[in-house]
Amino acid sequence: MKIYHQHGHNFVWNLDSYTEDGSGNGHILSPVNIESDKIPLRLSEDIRKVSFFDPQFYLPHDAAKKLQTYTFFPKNVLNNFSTSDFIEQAYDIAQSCLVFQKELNFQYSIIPTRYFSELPENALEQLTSIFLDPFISEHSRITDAPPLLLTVIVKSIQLEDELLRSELITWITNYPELRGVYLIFDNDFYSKQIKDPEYLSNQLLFIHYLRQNGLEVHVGYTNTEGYLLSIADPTSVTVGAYENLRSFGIQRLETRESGTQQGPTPRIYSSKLFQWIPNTSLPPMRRLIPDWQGLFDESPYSEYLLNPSSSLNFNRKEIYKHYFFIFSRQAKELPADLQTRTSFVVEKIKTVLENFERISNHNVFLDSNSDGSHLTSWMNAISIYNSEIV
Amino acid sequence: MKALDEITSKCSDVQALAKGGQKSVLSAIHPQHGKVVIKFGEYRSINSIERIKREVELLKELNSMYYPKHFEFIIDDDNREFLIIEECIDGKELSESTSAFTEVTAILSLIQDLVKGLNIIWAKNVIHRDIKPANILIKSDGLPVIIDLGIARFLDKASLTHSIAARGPATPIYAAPEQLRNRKPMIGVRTDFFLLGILALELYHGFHPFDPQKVGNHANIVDNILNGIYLPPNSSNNTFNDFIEGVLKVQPYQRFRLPQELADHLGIKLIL
Repeated sequence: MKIYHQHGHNFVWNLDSYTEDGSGNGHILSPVNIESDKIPLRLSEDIRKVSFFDPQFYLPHDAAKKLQTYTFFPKNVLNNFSTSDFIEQAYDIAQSCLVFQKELNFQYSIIPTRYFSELPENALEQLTSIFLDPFISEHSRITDAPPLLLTVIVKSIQLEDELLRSELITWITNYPELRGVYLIFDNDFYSKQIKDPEYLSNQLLFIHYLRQNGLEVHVGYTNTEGYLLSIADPTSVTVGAYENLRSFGIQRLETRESGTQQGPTPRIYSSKLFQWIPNTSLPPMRRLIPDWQGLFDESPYSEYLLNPSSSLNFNRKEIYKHYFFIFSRQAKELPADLQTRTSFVVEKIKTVLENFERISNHNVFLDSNSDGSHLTSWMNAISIYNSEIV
Repeated sequence: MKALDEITSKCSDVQALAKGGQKSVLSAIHPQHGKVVIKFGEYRSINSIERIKREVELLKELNSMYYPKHFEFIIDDDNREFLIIEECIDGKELSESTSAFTEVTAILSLIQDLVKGLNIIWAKNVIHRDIKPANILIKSDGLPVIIDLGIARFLDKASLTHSIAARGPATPIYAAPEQLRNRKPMIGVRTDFFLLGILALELYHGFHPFDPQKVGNHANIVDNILNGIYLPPNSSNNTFNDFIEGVLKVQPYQRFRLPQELADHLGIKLIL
């Protein structure tokens, strides 16, 4: 399983982490965070070859500032946005968007999608006529264009409702022209971790069936559950700096976007806990748990992060570079064989649960966004998933 | 219909073959085309004449032994009438020829031919959607000819089916679950794969494989199709068993994905 850096605000940390620490396998570019002419200056061709560009047509009528530098962005092409205007221009938009991706030598040609706050009855037909058909058609006319990935936003209802789920998977797998999908689960949970085993097992099944159909599956905007998803064999999952890059929300792409999400408490990722631990929990851990440092990982950044005299705030790059480093290492350790991988992940979760037990045995208490309560959901999700794919 | 009179006056041995709904079918000997069928009737809506036009356009493009040749198409817009002249296939409906297809090897051979024939329209992004014994003619040399593309789905063209309809165009007991539920984005080659599965298994068993009396429940065939309840084959031929299992899944994404994948399984080469 590969790891892609999900770019956003301060994506330079991702680039540094990749080049300096060898963290991750590639990058997913975010045009809302970089002007079009800056891409070749900020990312070398070697990096672009292992990366892809998300055109971010999610809100096609709302061009945030930097998106205005992309001539093919729908808002920049269409004067009066409407679906019928869009259909008329769709082939021209597709052509210039694909040429842009090819000329910059990206790894894939990405077919964008749009975001629906409420899923209309004819959503897939709309997406077929404004994106899928035009991009597939224009792609076939461009010599040596990189292989196609279709962006798909999966709404919660499309995971829960078997008919909608089936319709979406069938629609995606109907097109032999696609190399794969760039999958984004539209997450509307309030908690920082996903704690719904049904939701998680449906995510696993969704990925599984796409893989069974021979498609590459690149899952974007993942948090630590990316590790759990590995048992369904996605081609890649992502690491992102701020929370809004580890859970998809459309707010990030609206013009009112301010760059970062509110998140004043700095948190440190631990692979020993599959969790982000707030630095406010570090003093009691230091005081009450012998060898508390064993609950955290070593990295080029850990000494700084765990040092009580460091003045941590959530905008410190060390927090994220540490996470990229550790999570990439976790992905590398995963066994290639899926059955072995599943057993491996289950054993890891059990060990992590023991670690949380150890913490509570020492009378250190973590809030529900920092404890191990998501891990029982992970275990149940694995059980449900395994029972479904037999 | 004036055109009908003109054409039949040129033909000999004109005989009525069938009459149903708004359409009638004659057979005749045409001075240029030889033995033909003449289909004629009224059309009631723009949608229905559009379907007929699409079918005719497709048949005109095809030059294949698996489909009847198309000769002439006349529309009388004033009277809302149409007339089609096609090659008359010298053969019997599959439903009348089932005795030739009781052995698994014969059934597989038929399926192989049908996949080769259907692949010609699949490659044009057309889904037949109505594969059933009545729409397959078996010629004296055993070769199947596929007829009646009247409800075919042209994936590159606008859908003619109303989204609000509870059921999509289909013959209900020879339909895939996605047709029965009218889930248009799910219609694809795998819809036809499912129909081939019903056809093959009906020939194998000698009865409809989703028949509630045979599967032992009190539902009906349509409900059993929707729920994937059928009597599986009890054959020693794994190619056949795996074919059935690989096409009769309720979820299209669990069936064989592409024509080539199906062809590989059946050990045939697809030629356009």
